[in-house]
Amino acid sequence: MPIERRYNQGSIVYFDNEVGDDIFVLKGGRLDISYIEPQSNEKITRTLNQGEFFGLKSAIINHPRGEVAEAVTECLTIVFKVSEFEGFVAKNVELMKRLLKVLSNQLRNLGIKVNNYLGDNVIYPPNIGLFKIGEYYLNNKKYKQAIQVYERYINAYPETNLAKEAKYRIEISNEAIKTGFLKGFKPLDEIMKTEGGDLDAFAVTDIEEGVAESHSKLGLKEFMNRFYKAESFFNGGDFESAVKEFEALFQVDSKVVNSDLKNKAKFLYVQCLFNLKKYNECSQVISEFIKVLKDPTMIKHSLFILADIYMDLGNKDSAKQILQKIVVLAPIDQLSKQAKERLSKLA
Amino acid sequence: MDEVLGRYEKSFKAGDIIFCEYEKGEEFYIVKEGKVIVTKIQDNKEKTLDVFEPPSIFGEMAIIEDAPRSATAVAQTDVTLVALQKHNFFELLASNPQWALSLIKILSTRIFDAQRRLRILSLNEDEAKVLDTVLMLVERKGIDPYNYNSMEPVPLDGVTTETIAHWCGLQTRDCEIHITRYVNMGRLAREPGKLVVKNLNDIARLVKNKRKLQEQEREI
Repeated sequence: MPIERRYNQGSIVYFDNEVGDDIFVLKGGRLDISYIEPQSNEKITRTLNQGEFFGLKSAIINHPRGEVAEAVTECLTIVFKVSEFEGFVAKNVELMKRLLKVLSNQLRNLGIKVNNYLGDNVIYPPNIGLFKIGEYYLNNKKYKQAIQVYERYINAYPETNLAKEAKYRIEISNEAIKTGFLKGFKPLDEIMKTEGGDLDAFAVTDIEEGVAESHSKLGLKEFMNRFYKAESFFNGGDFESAVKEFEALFQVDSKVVNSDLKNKAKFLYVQCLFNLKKYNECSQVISEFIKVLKDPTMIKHSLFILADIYMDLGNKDSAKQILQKIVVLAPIDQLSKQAKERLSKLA
Repeated sequence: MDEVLGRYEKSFKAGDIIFCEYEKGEEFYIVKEGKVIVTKIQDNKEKTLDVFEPPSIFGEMAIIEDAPRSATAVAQTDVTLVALQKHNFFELLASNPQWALSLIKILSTRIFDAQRRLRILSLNEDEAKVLDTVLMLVERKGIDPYNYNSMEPVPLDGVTTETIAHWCGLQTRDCEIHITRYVNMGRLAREPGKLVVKNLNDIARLVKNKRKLQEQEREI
């Protein structure tokens, strides 16, 4: 049976490198997880949300802990032994889903970081990336694989200029399989040069004329994939790369993308700028952003960031004004209450 | 169960591409027969990330996260797979909780591996990277290099210069220079099919000092 365990303020639930087979869920209080980021050698601290699991990865594979867990206030936890946890998850599909998602996402973000070190940090839009894999096989005389990749490319992106190139490459690969001789073809870089612009620009204009007007599915795909990449950078705490991705994303003429998603991207972008302490830029983006925003919750959240900027810059009065704005903005909700509380602390 | 799954079987010939990096993920797979390798093309080289044999499950990451494929899967031999659609994934896990648990374990292991690799890659000097990779390979045998109370050499089976170069992101040639130097010093030894760590404590101490030095430099 899982048990409840209480930790006093300031006590350590577990240390880095310690071996333990307890898996915890935070039930109450504030608990911080911290670890040293190898890249910058900085201590990174994250406050857990209630109901969040911790100590899971290490316990379940019997690996030393990779972080310190500290009870910042008095904390109440539920403690599972590994076997108890296994029984618990087996009966709870929703939890299973959530855990797998969290782990898979962590792994993907780590993969991006590792690739950054390995020098392979060029992130291609998915259509170009897929085409480039075909190019790799073609250049290495793996014709069978090249054909399969180009076929997949044509299936996924039939309306693009590159689809023609893919068709041609399939033809010459088939010939090469028979004759052993590969006809010439225009390298991807050259195609892109003649089509104008760099990789990214090409990705956006990689649509046949006429179709571009109404915008093809590619607009949405392109946007989604970039959005996803930017979001993973954001979740991984790599705000600089996230900013770059978001900025490229906003360049995309994304008429087909619904405004909720665009706003979500803008809001994440604002948070990145704030984290990078690019206050001037950040406040500018926020003030333009809230002009077009209709969702009051997002307006309030953005205003909170603005207030934080003023606080960080030591401009208490402006921060107060902003908080007041949040208080009076309809509807009156949890956020209005938070703004009120912060105002009273400032007074 | 097997009867139901039989309906979803797909066969691939050796060399066939099962899915490609950057593609949208709509299916995940269980290997029924044969071998599947998962690769990624980096610096114009196709690098193997994983090999899957029966009864492994693969291709699940893109399904779990609803994201593009992060690597390419190729049939290494003729393979028979059970291909399951996205919406079956969680149903299947619910009826086979053991799979879900082993997936959680696999992902956890891969996360710790990636973190360890990042620690290696964050070192400045190539020499330190090579030595720390050696330590990592020792750790994988369940030995803690920083608490090794023995003079007994540690053999690393199947480890070549290439293995180490791959892990620490160096060119094989550059990696070779450092390994040869340590072999000449008598701290490492090359034996058929393996690399032997002659004096683990020595190497652990060297890496520890290098890391410390680098941290101090950062603080200045």
